[in-house]
Formats: sequence, structure tokens, C-alpha cells
Amino acid sequence: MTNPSGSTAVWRRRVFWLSVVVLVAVQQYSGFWDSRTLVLDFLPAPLFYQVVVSLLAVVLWWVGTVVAWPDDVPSGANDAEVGGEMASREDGS
Amino acid sequence: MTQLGIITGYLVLLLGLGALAARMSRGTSRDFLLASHSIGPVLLLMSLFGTTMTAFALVGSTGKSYQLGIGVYGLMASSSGIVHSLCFFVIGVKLWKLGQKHGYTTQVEYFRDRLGSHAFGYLLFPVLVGLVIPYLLMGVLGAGAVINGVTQGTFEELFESADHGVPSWLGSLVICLVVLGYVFTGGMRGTAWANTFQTTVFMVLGVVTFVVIASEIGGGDSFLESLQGATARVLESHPEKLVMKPHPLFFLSFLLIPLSAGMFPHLFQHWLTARSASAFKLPVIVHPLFILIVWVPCVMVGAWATAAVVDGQQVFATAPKNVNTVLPIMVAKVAGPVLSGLLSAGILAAVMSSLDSQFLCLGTMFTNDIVLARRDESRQVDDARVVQLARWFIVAIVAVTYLLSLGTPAAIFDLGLWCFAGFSGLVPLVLAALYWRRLTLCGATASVVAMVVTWLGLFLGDMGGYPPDPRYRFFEMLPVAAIVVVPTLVLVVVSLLTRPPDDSVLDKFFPRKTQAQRSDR
Repeated sequence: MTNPSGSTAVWRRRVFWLSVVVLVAVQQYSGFWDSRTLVLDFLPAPLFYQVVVSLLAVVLWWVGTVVAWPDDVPSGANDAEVGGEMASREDGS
Repeated sequence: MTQLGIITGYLVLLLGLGALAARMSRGTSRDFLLASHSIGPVLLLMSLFGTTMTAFALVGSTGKSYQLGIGVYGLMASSSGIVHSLCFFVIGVKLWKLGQKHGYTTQVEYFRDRLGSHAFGYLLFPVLVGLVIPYLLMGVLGAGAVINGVTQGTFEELFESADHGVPSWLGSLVICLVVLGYVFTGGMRGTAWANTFQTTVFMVLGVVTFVVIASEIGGGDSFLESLQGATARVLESHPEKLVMKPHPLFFLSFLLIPLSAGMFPHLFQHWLTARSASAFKLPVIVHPLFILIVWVPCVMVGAWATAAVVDGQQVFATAPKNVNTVLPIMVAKVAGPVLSGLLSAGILAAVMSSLDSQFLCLGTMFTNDIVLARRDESRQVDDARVVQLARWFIVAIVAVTYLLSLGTPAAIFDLGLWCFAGFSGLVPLVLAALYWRRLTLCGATASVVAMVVTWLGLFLGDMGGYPPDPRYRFFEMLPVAAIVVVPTLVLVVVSLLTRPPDDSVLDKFFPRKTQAQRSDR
């Protein structure tokens, strides 16, 4: 996978953080709160709605780790060396 | 008696795990406290999740759902799925990096360095310890309630006041001793292992519990029919438990409660155990899913409990004396002794997987922030002595917590709201420290004082004794709204009114961007 150019990466990040705000707004939406509908005849609609929000959060955070991982923190295998190096130093090895 | 045997066997197994971890130890205090920064993504996920899912999540959520209905999931679980991962993302990764670079072990070490003030640590330390105690109290109360709930009726001649089960005070005491045992022997590595093991246990057994309870009280031929049957009973007698009716602003203020994860001292310590920054990715992504897996069954069981009938008798013909016992009583009523014992061990696993991290963290804070804070760098530190001091401090705090648990049993959910509100009130401070160059020592100090004053003012004020119900409304919101907003305003205003921090301090935490990086933007 090629790295996106600087401006593309910035836009991706902005869209991602905007999506987080939208997800919070979706979580707060009260349209289904007093619905008496039972999904599959057992799961109350207000609870089902909040379960969907949880699943959307999983997807959104996965996207976030791809497009919005902090610049100054290595995201690949190389950063394992930072921890490994630290551990070795502390052990005196 | 079978349940007791299984629970005892499980506790012995945990002690064995601690002993095994001790054999892997490198013998240094750094290894005891941070597992030598060797924890990978899976262990990090399990230990972070196990640590944040407490008695609050299992025992508290079921009890609260029994009282309020399924809306509890929206109030706490779906919001936690968003906000906890947000905290890992914007606070955890950044603090991990600073911890690696500058060798921090505790929050106080970071803030002392960032604000250029040793004295600030002496302000923050008691505030953090003071907030961890009610957090511990939730676990201790939850453990006692679970053991009492599943053993009621076991001793025909004994413990009449505890409905002939193991009294809560005894159950809580045993759990405290076992957790102390494996934390002392295994340190952070033992804790991370135990957390992973226990998180697996409580998630698997949690799902089993849900299936067993649904099948028993739903009474259908298939699992789906059982689910439908269990919900249908609630629909007939307590339909209000299947809808949500909070005031929108009240609901909004619940978003601030999971923000507390950003300042939990034990989470900070777990973050620092990560082997690499990328180890955070798995917890960030999967955390909301794990919350869903644990909370949905608990919330459904709590709602079902309001109308559950077993062997022709209503499980709760009258409301239970202690709402924390709803889940264990449901387990005891519907499962056979063996399964009931296993399921109870699963619930205890969730409780203990938080207590252990908190115990260890308290010891780390005491030794690093108080005992070693003014040490002469040129003198050799006696590692064995450091670990010993950590252990004594842990024992002292656990003893205080245990004594508090002997008082009036608090509803765990309500106790949690107060405890988490305090930590949430400190989150503006850590966010400002990480992202705002203009934060000053005076602003940070005033913010902590403002949080404490606001929290105490609301808690001790017109709240109705100990433990107060969160009846307070500020524009229809929970106390946490005021506990977050007031310190934030104080932090910003005082920082802007006082002299900006020196560049020498800021350069350490906010590396200047190169020309190339600036033009890239």
C-alpha cells in the first residue's frame, strides 16, 4: 500500500475525526428510545440501536488506526524495537 | 457446597498462576511493576479490557438494569465503546511514547516533569489514591455479594443473617487475600497473565450464563424461542423495562463518565507495559466489541429478572435487599450446582481482574511518587526494599477499603458514577498537558483543586448520606458534568492569566516541527 500524500493524509484524518463526532451524535439520538418494537421478537429496539452503535464504533476505530494513527508514533513493526531496546537497557543486558 | 468447592479451586489456580509468573521474573523492580515493557497486542487488549470491566460492568449493570431497564446499555456501554477507545487513542498512545522516552512509571512522574514542579506530585498523589479507593470498594463489595448470592442456603445452621450463605464480609476478605497473593508473587507479569486468563474466563462463562438463564426462564424449544419467551414475560408485567426514558441532557452527561479511563492510574501503568505503539491498535479496535459481548447479556438478564419465574415461583417476588445480588441469585436459581459454581467463578474473575491492577498500581505510585521521589540519583536503590515498600502500602490501602466495605452496602452502579466522575474531572488536565503548550503550573494546580472542591461539594452537599444516589441535576445532568466543566474552565482561565511555561520545559514535550514537516501540511 502506498503512503498517501501529505494533504490527502490530513483530509483523511479530518474526515475520520468528523466521523467520530457524528458517531457520538448517532449514539445520542433519541428517536428509538420509546419504541416498543422487538427485533427478532426478543431484543428491544432501543437496545438493538445501541448495539449497532457499538458495532459502528468497532469499524470506525479500525479505520482510525489506519488513517489517523499519530504521526510521531511509529505504526509498524519497527516500533517494537523501541520497547525492546528499553527493556534490554533496564535489564542491563 | 459444590459451588464453594469450585470457587475455591479457581482461587487456588490463580495463586498458582502468580507463582508461575514469579518464576519468569527478571528480579528487578521494573520487571515487577511494568513487566519490562514486554506486553504485546493480545495481552494488552485482554489486560486493558479486564481492568476496565469491573464489578460495575457485571454485577452493577445487571442490578441497575433490574431497577431501570435496558436503557443502562445506552447510558454506559455504547458510550464506553466510543470514549474508552478514544482515550486509548489520544491519551494512551501519546503517554506510552513519553513514558518510553523519559522512563515514567506513574502519572505523577509525568506531571512533575511536564509542569516542572515536584510539589505538584504531592497534590495529585492523594487525589488519585482517594479516587482509587471507591473504585476498589466496588470490586470488594461485588466479590462479597457474588459469593453470598450463590451460596445462600448452603449452611443450614450458620450465617442466618446472610441467608445461610457465606457472609459478604467473609467473601470480600478471601478475595482480597487471594488477589494480594498473586499480585505479590507475580507482579505486573502475573497480573497481566491473570487478567488475560480471567478476561477469557468471564467472557466465555458470561455467554454461557446468558444461554443458561435464557433457556431456563424463557422455556422455549430453541434458544431463540427461549429469548423470546424471557422477553415476553417482561413485556407482560414490566414493559417499562424495555424502553429508554432518560432526559436527553441526562443521557448526554453519561458520555463524560467513561472519559474517566483517561486518568485511571492502573490503566496508565498498563499502557506503559506495551511493547510497542502498534500494540495499542488491537485494544482500540476491539474494545467496543468486547464491551458489547459483556454488557448485552448482563443488561438483558437484569431486565428479565424483573419477571423471571423458575419452578413456578417468581425469582424476585420482592425486590432484593441488595441489588448487587441480582446476577448471582439468578445464576444460583437457574443453574445446577456445578455450572453455578463455574459461572460464579467467571463473575469473580471479572471482579479480580480489576482489583489486581489497582493493587499493583497503588504500590507503584507510593514507591515512585513518594518514597523514591527525592532520592539521591547517585546512590544505588535497593530493589528488594522498593518492592517490599510497595507491598506494605498496598496492604494498608486494601485494609482501609475492606473496612469501608463493612459499612452500608452501596449500590455498585451509583458508587461507580461518583468514583468515575472524579477521574473524569482530571481528564482536562491530562489533555491539556499533552496537547496545549500554554498550560501552566498554576492552571494545573487550580484545576485539580477545583475538581476536588466541586466533587466534595456535590458529594457531601445535598446528596442524601452515604453512598449518595446521583440525584443531583445541573441543567438535568449528572454531577460529572459540573465536575468536568468547572476544572476545565479554571484550568484555561488561570493558565492564560499566568506566565507561560519555559521553552526549555516545552521543548521536551512538544518537539519543534522541521521545515519539511511544516510544508508537508
